Amino acid sequence: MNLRVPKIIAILFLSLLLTGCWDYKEIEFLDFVMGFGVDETDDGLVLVSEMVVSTGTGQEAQLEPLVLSTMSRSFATATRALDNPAGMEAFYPHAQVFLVSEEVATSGVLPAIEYLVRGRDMRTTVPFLVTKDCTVEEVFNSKPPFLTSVSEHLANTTRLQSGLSIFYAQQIWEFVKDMIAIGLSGTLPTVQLVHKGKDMVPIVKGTAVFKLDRMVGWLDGEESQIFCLLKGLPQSGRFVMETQIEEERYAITYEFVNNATKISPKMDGDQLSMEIEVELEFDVPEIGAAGIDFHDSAIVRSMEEQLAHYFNRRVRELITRIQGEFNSDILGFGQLVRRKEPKLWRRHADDWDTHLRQLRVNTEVRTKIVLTGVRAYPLIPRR
Amino acid sequence: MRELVPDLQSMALVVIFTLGDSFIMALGSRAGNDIWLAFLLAIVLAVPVIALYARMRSLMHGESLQEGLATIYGKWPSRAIALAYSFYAWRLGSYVLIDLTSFIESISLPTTPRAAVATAYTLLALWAAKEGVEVLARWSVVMIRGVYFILFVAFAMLVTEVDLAEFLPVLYDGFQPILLGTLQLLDVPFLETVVLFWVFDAFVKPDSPYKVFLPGFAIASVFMCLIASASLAVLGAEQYATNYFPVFVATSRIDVAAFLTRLESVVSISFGIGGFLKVAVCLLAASKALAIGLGFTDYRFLVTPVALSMIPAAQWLITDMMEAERIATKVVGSSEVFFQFVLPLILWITAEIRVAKGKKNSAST
Amino acid sequence: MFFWKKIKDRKPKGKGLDRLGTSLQTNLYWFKNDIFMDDASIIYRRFRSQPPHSRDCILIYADNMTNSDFLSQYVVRPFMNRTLPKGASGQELADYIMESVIQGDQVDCSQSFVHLSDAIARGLGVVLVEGCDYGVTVEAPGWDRRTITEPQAESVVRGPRQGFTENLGVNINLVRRIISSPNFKIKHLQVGLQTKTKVAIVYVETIASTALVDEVVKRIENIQIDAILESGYIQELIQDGPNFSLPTIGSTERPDIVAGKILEGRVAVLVDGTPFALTMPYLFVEAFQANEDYYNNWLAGTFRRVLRYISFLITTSSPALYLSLISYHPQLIPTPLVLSIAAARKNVPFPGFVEVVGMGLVFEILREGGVRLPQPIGQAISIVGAIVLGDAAVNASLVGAPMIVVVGLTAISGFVVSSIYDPAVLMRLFLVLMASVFGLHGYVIGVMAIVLQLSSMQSFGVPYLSSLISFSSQGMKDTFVRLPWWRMVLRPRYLGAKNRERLRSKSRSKSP
Repeated sequence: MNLRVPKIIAILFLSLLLTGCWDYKEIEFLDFVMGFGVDETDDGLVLVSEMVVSTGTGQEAQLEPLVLSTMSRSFATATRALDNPAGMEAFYPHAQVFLVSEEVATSGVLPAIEYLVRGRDMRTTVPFLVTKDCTVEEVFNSKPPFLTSVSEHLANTTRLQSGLSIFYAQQIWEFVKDMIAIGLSGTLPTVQLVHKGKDMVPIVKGTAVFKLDRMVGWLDGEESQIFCLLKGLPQSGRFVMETQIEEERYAITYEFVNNATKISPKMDGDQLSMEIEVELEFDVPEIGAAGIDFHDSAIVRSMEEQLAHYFNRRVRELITRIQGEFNSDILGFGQLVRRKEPKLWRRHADDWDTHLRQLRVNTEVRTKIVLTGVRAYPLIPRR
Repeated sequence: MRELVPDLQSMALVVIFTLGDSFIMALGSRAGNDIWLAFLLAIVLAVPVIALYARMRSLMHGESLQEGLATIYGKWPSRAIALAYSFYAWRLGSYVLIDLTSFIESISLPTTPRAAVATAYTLLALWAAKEGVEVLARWSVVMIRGVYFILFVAFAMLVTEVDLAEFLPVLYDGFQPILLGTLQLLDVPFLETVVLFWVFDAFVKPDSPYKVFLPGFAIASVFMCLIASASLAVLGAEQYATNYFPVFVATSRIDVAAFLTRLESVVSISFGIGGFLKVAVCLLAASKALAIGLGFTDYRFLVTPVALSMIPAAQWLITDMMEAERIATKVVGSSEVFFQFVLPLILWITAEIRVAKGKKNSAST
Repeated sequence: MFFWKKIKDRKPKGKGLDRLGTSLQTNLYWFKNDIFMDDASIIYRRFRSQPPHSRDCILIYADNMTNSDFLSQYVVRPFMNRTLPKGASGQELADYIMESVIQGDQVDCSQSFVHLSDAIARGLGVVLVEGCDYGVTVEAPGWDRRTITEPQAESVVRGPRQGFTENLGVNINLVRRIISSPNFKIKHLQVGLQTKTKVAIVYVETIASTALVDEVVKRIENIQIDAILESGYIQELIQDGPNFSLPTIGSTERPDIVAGKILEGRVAVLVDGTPFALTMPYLFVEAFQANEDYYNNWLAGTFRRVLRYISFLITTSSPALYLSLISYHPQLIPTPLVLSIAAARKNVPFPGFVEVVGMGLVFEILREGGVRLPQPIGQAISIVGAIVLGDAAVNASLVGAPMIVVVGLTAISGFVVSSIYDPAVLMRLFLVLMASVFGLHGYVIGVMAIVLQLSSMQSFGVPYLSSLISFSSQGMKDTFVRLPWWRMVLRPRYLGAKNRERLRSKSRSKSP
């Protein structure tokens, strides 16, 4: 019995050693792509990759970014075509960001993401952004102030979304999920270039609105904040609002502490409407010279009302744009209706676009100031 | 020679066998987002059938499988039955081998010949089958901890990505998708448990088959239900049904502090473990049934030819991934229905009648 | 304890007679010119008993092996002071000598040349008397023995500081002093056609299963080998599954460990001439248990035990995992790490596989070189290893720095489970080979193969993984964790102990 075992092990070994190591590759011959993206030209698509090249060895090794681009008719051939100028095998799974240019987004991102979700080497848990007013190649060639690699810079920036509140970050798979979901459209954050001294610096700001796989419009930074709010993204950003305190107006700074949004379809007889309830809690970190005594509940209530009014107005403006200008269901009204009122959805599924245009949306914003820094009383200079 | 395996160890074998590698594929995808309902229905429907398998083994208590079959069905019919099931187990083993190797090929080793991976797994299964069911059961007990640990950790990290609203609306398209999903699940993998009927030589007590098959199946199927439902809640019904390997894709979403990512390869390890055990058990069942069919008492010398025949079979039976997926997720296969339900039912009824008659005879004499 | 009675009867070697005659001259002739021919260390002491019926006597013993003071005090002097009964001969005379003359504890008589010459070779004194065809043996051990010290390889921070010596009697007494109970039983056997090594099988009668004891006795009696120089010979000859390097019989130098194991229902074998005792059956988990686990707080013991399991995983797996990650699945390594590994490996001329196997080999050579050398030279070797081969190799781009980390980690964690160090090295090599062909999948196949091998192994009828495959809490209590003593009420089931209760509940006292 026992002699059989080593025999079998020997057979196993032989079979392995006689054959070979097919997928074996050496890590030092891989070219790690840190980020990549697609531009569109008249001749076809241009795949742009940012790679890192190490100079020196051992402890003296320095990593430097290198941007390569190649033109091709398909993504699959383009990714391979990059191997040639790089002289090494391009390795995509460590990519940290994926960009598409405005032109690609307008003509449809389906070909790109269809390749990404099908391919074996591509990871879909990667931030996905659209460039605005610049090409992908320009973005990769820009100079972020601290990090040498643009991809790393963009990936880090997208992680700050709750604090910045000017874009709604999406990973590739999140966008894909929204795109193929029934009654929901996707959005992507946009990346722009701004001047900083002599160099161009990429910043992430604003939102590209999609319908199916095509971009139909933009939201600017402020609208994106409201969009994030409606999507239920936890906010921690600060903003300044002109506030009427008794007789005078002051610029007062508020900071989000808590926020919750509930969107629900409501049936009133045969009439469908969407109810949007937003609950916001604020800190007041800066009041300037307003001299507010926060123990005066009348003043606090007035501030809360002004905040509610302000946000209500901005929410309504955004929803008007979504319903009218974009006619794209980025808030997922259709999905909610399908989930909560499947019978109604069955009736409207085919003409949901027109239905969306006429849909009644009721908004209600409740606000509360829960913190005022670490002081209740203002500083008052005295003689 | 009879190998007695303690009930709990046999149960571990049943659990890993039932989990197998089958949860790589889009199980019950026809049910859309009502997959959990399809799972529950399939479990409820499968339990009586599995109890039927257990009942047959329980009727043969005190005798080895070979003697038991011969006393109940007679010499030649029992041999024919054994040969038929030998073929079934052989084919199932080959299918599992295909699933496993295609999975490895399309996920991580694209240029490695499928035959090489298949050979490695088959040789290991060959060794395992030669060691016998006792060793295999012990192996399962050790491995079951690893499998559960990996899956538990992976899915615990997925909790933040789970969106329970994906299960709404319930029954949007009526009952038909659920029924299709249920049939899919019964076919592959739930009633594949019939293979285990041929693996155990004997049981400790007359009610042991129940204690081994039913809880083992229940644990594995509930666990599979949780895995499939969690994956669906992460991916959404469309993605679940359109990927070859939805559970794998779902675990690729894990991202804990940008450090614990890319865990899908670790999860694929548990597919490898389950798939290997399924191949080994099928091989063991095929060899044992073949030995019974040909009238030998020892099955061990048949393991090597059967195992070696599975390697080319795995290359020839199915040559592409699409076919492998079609087989793993098909709704009703006629041969499956025959081997998993019709034949066992006939055998069971015959067995009950024969045993009852036998009792009467022995009582009258 | 007349264990030499067990000797199998054989023809006396040489051409001589097999039984003593009545003539002292003839008997002496055979001893001197046949059996112990050309052996200068055998002393033949002639003397005469007290008249009137004074007889020629002769005391034969091996020089330096017997205590000659003892022999002259308690054997020669009584003979000289006493008159042997007239006309008595044969058994009668031998009995008289044993009962009334010789003042030693362990006295026996024999007619056989073989027995007597064996006794002399073993260090006993043999008295031959004119007219008597029996020889009387007296035990008078007199060789030097090592004092009882703490074993170097198994030193503890907390625990008894006694270790076995090379003397069987001392070793048995060390264990007996721990288990002072009449249930502590010793069976003596003799193994080795030339060495005639004394072997003692010790167990606790009320606990160890009879079948197990019989099996051990049977296996040892089966041994037909010319020499037993160390208990390792017996270990290899009687263990199950000898083709795989994992031990299925445990060995230890510590009496407390032997006592602990036989109190769980195991059987221990002590071999004369070596401080290493064998315990059986030996299961996989025992490689991860240490006596200190039981002497220290149970939580600390549990932590150390878990640490040992983790170390075992690291030492067997880390090179294979490293290889499969860098050569097959670079996507699994976190991005900053993958970049630095790639940079570190940039100018290394060897493929990853060669690097992993080569560095592993270099480390094993260093270890083998250092382990048997005296302390100062050993240190020199480690300096050469650390500085020359480690640092300089990295600077010269012969290996990447991450590889040095992996080798170091592997080595250190290997020492944590030192009792299965060698099997762990083989498993590591096997896993590296598998990983080099199929990456992580190969690694998993390798792990499954190892577990399959472990599952198929047995030690004296007990499955090797017994307690690992148990689901009950009493079965698991001493496997991954070391539960407090008040929870370990029963002895392990898999050993088939007769009496499973080891602790009366309510043994734990608390302050009110």
